[in-house]
Formats: sequence, C-alpha cells, structure tokens
Amino acid sequence: MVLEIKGLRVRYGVGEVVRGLDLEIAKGECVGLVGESGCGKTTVGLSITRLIPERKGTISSGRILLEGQDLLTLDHESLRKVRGKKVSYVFQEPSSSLNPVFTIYEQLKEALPGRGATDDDAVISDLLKSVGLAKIAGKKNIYPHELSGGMQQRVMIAMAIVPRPDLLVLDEPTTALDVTVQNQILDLIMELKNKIGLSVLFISHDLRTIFRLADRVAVMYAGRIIEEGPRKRIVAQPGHPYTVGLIDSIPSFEHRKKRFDAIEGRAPLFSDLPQGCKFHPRCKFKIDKCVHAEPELEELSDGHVSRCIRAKGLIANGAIKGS
Amino acid sequence: MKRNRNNMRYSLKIWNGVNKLMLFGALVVIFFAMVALFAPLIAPYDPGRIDIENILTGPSPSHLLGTDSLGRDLFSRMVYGARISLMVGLIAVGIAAVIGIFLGAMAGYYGKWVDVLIMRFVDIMLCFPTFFLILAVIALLEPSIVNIMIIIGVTSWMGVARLIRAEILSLKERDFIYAEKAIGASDFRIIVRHLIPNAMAPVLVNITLGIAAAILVESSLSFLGIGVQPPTPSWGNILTEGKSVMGAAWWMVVFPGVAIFITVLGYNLLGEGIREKLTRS
Amino acid sequence: MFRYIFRRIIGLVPLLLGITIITFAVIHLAPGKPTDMETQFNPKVSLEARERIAHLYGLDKPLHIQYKDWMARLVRLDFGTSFVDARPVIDKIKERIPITLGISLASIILILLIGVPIGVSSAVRQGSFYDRGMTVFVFVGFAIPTFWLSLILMDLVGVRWGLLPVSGIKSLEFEKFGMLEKIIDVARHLVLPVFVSAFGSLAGISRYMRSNMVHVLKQDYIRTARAKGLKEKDVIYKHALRNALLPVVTILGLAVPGLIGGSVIFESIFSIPGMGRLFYESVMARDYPVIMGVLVIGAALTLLGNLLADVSYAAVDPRIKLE
Repeated sequence: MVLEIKGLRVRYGVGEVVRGLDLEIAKGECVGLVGESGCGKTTVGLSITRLIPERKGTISSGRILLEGQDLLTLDHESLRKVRGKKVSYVFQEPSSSLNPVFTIYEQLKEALPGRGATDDDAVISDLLKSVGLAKIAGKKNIYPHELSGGMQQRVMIAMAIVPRPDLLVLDEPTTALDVTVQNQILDLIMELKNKIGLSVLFISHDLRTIFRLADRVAVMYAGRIIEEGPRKRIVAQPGHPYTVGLIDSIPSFEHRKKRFDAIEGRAPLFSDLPQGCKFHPRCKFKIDKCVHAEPELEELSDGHVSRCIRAKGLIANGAIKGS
Repeated sequence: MKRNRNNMRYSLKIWNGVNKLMLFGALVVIFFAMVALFAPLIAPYDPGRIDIENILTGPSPSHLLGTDSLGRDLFSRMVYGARISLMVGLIAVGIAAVIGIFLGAMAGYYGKWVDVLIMRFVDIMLCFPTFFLILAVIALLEPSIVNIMIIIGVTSWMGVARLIRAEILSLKERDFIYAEKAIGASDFRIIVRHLIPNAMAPVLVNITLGIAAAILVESSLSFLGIGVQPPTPSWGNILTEGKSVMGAAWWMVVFPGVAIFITVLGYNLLGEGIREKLTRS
Repeated sequence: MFRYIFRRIIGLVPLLLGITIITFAVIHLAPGKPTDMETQFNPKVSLEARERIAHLYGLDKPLHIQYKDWMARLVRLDFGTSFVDARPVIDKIKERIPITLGISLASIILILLIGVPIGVSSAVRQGSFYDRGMTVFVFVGFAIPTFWLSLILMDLVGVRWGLLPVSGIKSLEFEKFGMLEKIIDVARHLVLPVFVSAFGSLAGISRYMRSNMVHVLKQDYIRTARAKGLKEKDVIYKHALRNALLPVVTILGLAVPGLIGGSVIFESIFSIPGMGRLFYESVMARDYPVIMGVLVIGAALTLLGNLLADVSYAAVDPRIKLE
C-alpha cells in the first residue's frame, strides 16, 4: 500500500468533521473519494500532509502511513520534505492557488526536486509541453493572470507531477472549470496517470468525474466512509441508499426511470449530527433500528463494503439498483 | 498534535480578548460621558475660582490633581473640560454625519452626474491636509466652541459619504427597493426609510472613530491657542498653560494628556470592537 | 509607462482646478474678510482707507473676476506677496518645503522600517502574547495626542536628560561646524520631530500590514506553497510578504496629507521653520496670500503623493498593465 489511513479523526470548531476514517490506496491505483460539499472529504486530503490551518482544526487521532511511514508523528522539518516530494496536490481553484505576483516559471522552479540545477530551464520547458502548454514553454515572464483557468490548472498539475510523487491528491481539480475544459483536464490526468503510474487520491463531489477516473470509489457522508468498493461493482450495484441517490443525480443518467429525484433534505451539520445512521433523516428505507446505532461497515462482496444495515436486503429485493 | 490543540484553545481566548478591549472602550466612553453630564455635581470647586494662596500646588486631598498658575482647581477644570471635549466631538461628528449621509445618499441613489459631481468634490476635499483646511477657516472666524464644532464637522464628512454611497449602490438593486418603487413610494421615502437605515452599520463604526479624531483635533487646536479660548477650560488649553509651567508643575501636563489619551483610546476600542462584531456576523 | 503617467497627469487637472476653487471659496466666502485683519485693530483706519486696501488687492471686484485674476497669476506660480513682509509668497514657501518634505520622507522611511516588521511578525504569530501586546501598542499609538507626546519627549529627552536639542533644526554655532558635524547636528535636531511625526502613522501602518498579512496567509496560494514543501520562512517572507506589501505602497500615498497636516503641530512645538509653522504663523497673522498659497501647494503635494503611489503600485504589481 502506498497510503493507509487508519481511524482518522479531525476536529474543527463546529465539531468532529472526520469521525474515524479508514482508506487505503495501492500503488498505481486511483481512489475516488466522493461526497456532498461539507462532508469532510477535503479535510481528509489536507490531513495527509497536515495542511489544515492550525486555527481551523486539528487531527485528534489516527494514523496516516505513507509507504509505511506515519506522517502524523513526523516533526515539521521531516514533514516538509514529504510535502511536494512524496505527496503533492492539485487544488480546486487554479486562479487563487497560484501566487499572483510570481511568474509561472518561478513557481514551477520551486517545485523542481533538485533545485538550482543548470538544466532547470529545459526541464521546465519539457514539463510545460507534457501538460499541453507548449505555447508558453520557454517563456519566463508569464504571470498566472495571463492564463485561462484551464491553463492555470495545467500549471498546477505540472507542479504536482514534476517531483514524481508517491501520491497525488487531486481535490476537485475540475470543479471550477468550464465543462469542455473539465474534460480536457480529466483526459490529461488520465494520460499522466497511465504514463507515470501515479497513485492518486481523487476527491470530488461529482460522481461522474469519479467514475471516469477512479479504480476504486469511496463514498463519504458526515465524516465517515459509508460505502467503498471497486468502481465497476458500485456502478453495477451500489450498496447504500445514499450512493444510489448520488448516482441518480448525475445528469447523464437522467433518462432512466427515477427512483430518487435527488436526495431530499440537506447534509447534517457537524455541530448537530443525528443519532444512529447519520443518513437516516434523508433515507427512504429508514426503519426504527436505523435511528438507534450507527452501523458498522459490512462486507457485501469481496472488497465492497457498506455502512447500511439493510444493504443486503435492499439489494436482494431490488429496491436499490445500479444502472 | 498536542500543540495544535493548545492553539485551538488559544484562538478562543483571543476572541474573548477582543471583546474585553471593546468592553473597556465602552466603559471609558460611558465614564467620561457621566463625568461630563454631572460635571457640576462632581467638581469640588468652581472651575473659574481663582485662589492666589494656592498657586501651582501639587496633588493633595483638597486639590486632587493640584492647582494651576492662578490657583484654580485642576480636577474641577478637567471635569468641565470633559464637557467641552465630548460636546465638540459629538456635535462635530454629528454635523459630519449629516453632511456625509446626505451627500453620500444623493450620489449613490441618483448616480450619473450627481454622483460624479459629489464624488469629485469628495476627492478634492480629501486632497487638503485636513488640519490645514481647519486652520485656514479658523483664520477667518473667531475661535469659538460653536465655530470649532462646525469647522471640524464640515471638514470630516468625506469618509461617511463614501461609505453611505457604496452601501446604497449595493442596496438599491435589491428586490425590496424595487417593490417600494412599484407601489409608488417617493425617492425621499425610499432613501430615508429604507436605504439609509440599512446602510448605517459601517457608518456607526466610522462615527465612533470620528469622535475620537474630533476630540484629538479639538485638543490640538486648543493647544495651539486657536481652539477653545480660556478661561473656558478644555483639555487642550489646560495643556497650553501646562507647557509653560512644565518644569514646576508636572500635573498640569500629565493629567490633561492622560485624559485625552484615555478618552480617544476608549472611542477607538469601541469603534474597532463594533467593526469586529459587524464583520463577524 | 510614460503614456500612463502622462494620462494620469492630465487627469489631475480637474482636481487641481477643484482645489483652487475650494481654496478660493474658503477664503472669500467665509464670514470674515481678509481686510479685517489689517484694519480692525486700528480704529483710525477709516472706511475710505479700508476700501482703498480692498481695491489694492482687487477685493472690490466681483468674485468670479477675482478668481480669474488669481488663477491667471497662479498658473505662472505667482501667489502674490505676503501681507506681513511683502515678500513673494512662492519664495516663502519654497524655502520651507524642503524641510517639511524632508521630515515627512524620513518619517515614511521610519514608518516602513518599523511598521512593516511589526505588522508581519504580529500576523505570523497571530493570537500570541506578542501579537496581543502589539495590538495594545498600536491602539496606544493611535490615541496619544501628538502634541502631548512632543511635550513629554521635549521635557524628558531634551530638558531633563539633555540628550537632544529640542528647538529648530540647527545649533547657533552651525556655520562654524565642519561638514560631518553639520550633518550630525541636523540629524540630532530632527530625531524627536521625525519620531513624533512617524509615531501616529506607525500604528496605522503596522495594523494595516498585520491585517494584510493575515488576509494573505489565508489565501489558496499560501496553501499551495506549503503543499509544495517550501520552508516556512520562504512561504512567509517570499510568497506572503510580497503580496501583503503591495497595497502598502498606496497607503503611503494616502498618508501624505496626514503627515503634512501634522507638520503644523510638531513644527510649532519644536520651532522648525517648515511649511506647517509657516502656515500656523500666517493663520495667526491672517496673511491670506500665504494661507492660500500653502493650501494650494499642500493639496497639490497630496495629489503628487497619490500619483506616485499609483505609478509605483502599477510598477510593482504584475497584474496591472500600463499601456
């Protein structure tokens, strides 16, 4: 395993936003972490190299092993050497993620593993070409604001892949972009992933993009994983009413008969989580038992788990179905 | 990780700290307002009573803060001085607020050339070093308390005007304003009943800080001898006298200065506190 | 660049015109009359004589004619002659300006040298004991009356401890000094005035710098810089600082009227023959030509300060293009 997250708990001012989360990523694998905004998925990504601002929240317990090394016990200096070398990130907003007063060239140069080498210019040129930015390769005086959102995100991707990291964390990398640009960026990520053999944690609220890229999908709700399994299996047979709701809200699946319109209600507040299964107030299949205790993850088939006590029954009687 | 948790607690503490500063500001403001209001009850002597037996005596039980070079009781003069300082501050800022709200509302609501004209006027007024402008007007008028209040008010309304204009520009596109127009409400009604009250929050901060600034300006003018004229006591003109006897009577310099300092500090803390509250919500 | 500056200067013309109109209006529309001063203390001056003086200064003409005449002389930099000593106003101002500007410039440098580090270090240690101490210091700085501070410093440093001279800008025996002694002498005279002049704005700039820095440190590109594994000192003193410093340039331009206006107070107290003292003396003597001249020039200097600030802002911020 490249990455093993074990029992991660993160506490913010409003409450615990990651409530005991386990996740593994194998070498060369792309794991998609999906959930509504505010379910804690971004926090999971940031926790890996402890990028959560100190005054915002703290990791209260858990272990995060990268190639067997626990990142949560590292001192600041050792952690810094993991960041941008072993683990790198692409964030949601390319326009604000690049520093407006430094050139693209300067910012890429900072990401080079062996900085100060004489062939920096050539390396950066090649790098820009490899992410489809041949147009600005060799130009040293380009500032972020001179590029479009899509081009800025390509720069961010270039910055993230250049150290050949063990793990690449993509946090909603296409959400802020136009649909056509989104597809180009996804294609680029796929191409790079296959070419370099990256291990990827792909975080998104958009199940469609997750289905395009991920080998394995983890669905997150109210700070915990509620379903996890190989992509193909989840597409064919989702194992949690919430996942079914997410699938049904994908526009391209709209033609089929609707069992859920969208998921009713809102995601619960971390300051005021319901008892029992955290999804039960919005669930159409709720029974009395759902209200009492939060279910454990239950294996449905090999490598496919669900945090729903009725999962097996609902699948058996065809109440929840894949597409 | 343990360290992080401590930091969490720390940030909560700061939040409390900010409110404590604001509370301190509010208490100072209330305290001096009370002193000014009940000056005749608080002052042990008539502030103008000359006593040649007790010239420049230091603080003592009979004269808490000592006496000045005419033997007048400094404590009594300072108490009455509080009246002058606060009155000048409040009324000057009141004048500035009325002018600023009026011009800012005009500019924001009517837009077009009205806006251009008023905002150019604001820009030009802001070019003048305020203190120069105030001094120039004083040169023409007699330095009376009323004139000082008017002059400070007339030269410090620009910030309020800008704030009100900006608020109204963003408010006037809101639905409730369209609804008012649809039922045929007059411009005056819309501006006075709906736009101005909704734009008041940031102005409140500006006014509170403005009072502090006005008190500073008044005391500076009085200190320079072109503000409140003796024998009427003001903290500024007590200091002028104190300057000439500084070597012999430290109390004549220290007490009025500290009074100005604490009052200004109080209004600033209160203003910043209100600002903090507003930006949080 | 030059076209931009040229355009900006053209844009200043209406403002300059407005400045002259307001200056003129203040002097001629206020209830007092410029001729009062020369005549009111002398009961022997007959009505006829008063009219003769009014005629001499053209005060019997209609206002718009007076303004036109005044403007016609103004564009040739002819501000008339002083009522007090009949010297050309422009000469009197010319010999005073370098002193006031020099002190203002020294203050600005002092403000930057002290205010910026205070602001940055407070922001970085946001919420610490140091930060809270600095916040208190800043509020104290805001609230201390300049003239009172001057008095106290004069008494302590100058009179009681005898460390520094407290009056004028040079010693009586100045002419006998060698070059180095002359410089030291002037510097010693200027320590207190510059300190006092800087003190008020120091609080403002450090607070402004702190809030800029706090704001910048929350930006996405700072997270990117950390995620890249940059050293914390590079994150703060390279990525954050450059962004936080940019707007300070503009604020310095805006500080010009405050510094010049404040000169009245400390120049009077420290007997410094600068523009502020000239203005104060003219006000006391109701020397209207000088009052009008100093008002116009003071406002014009502010415009110049703003222009310089805008141009330098445009020069340092890559996002602003000068065409």
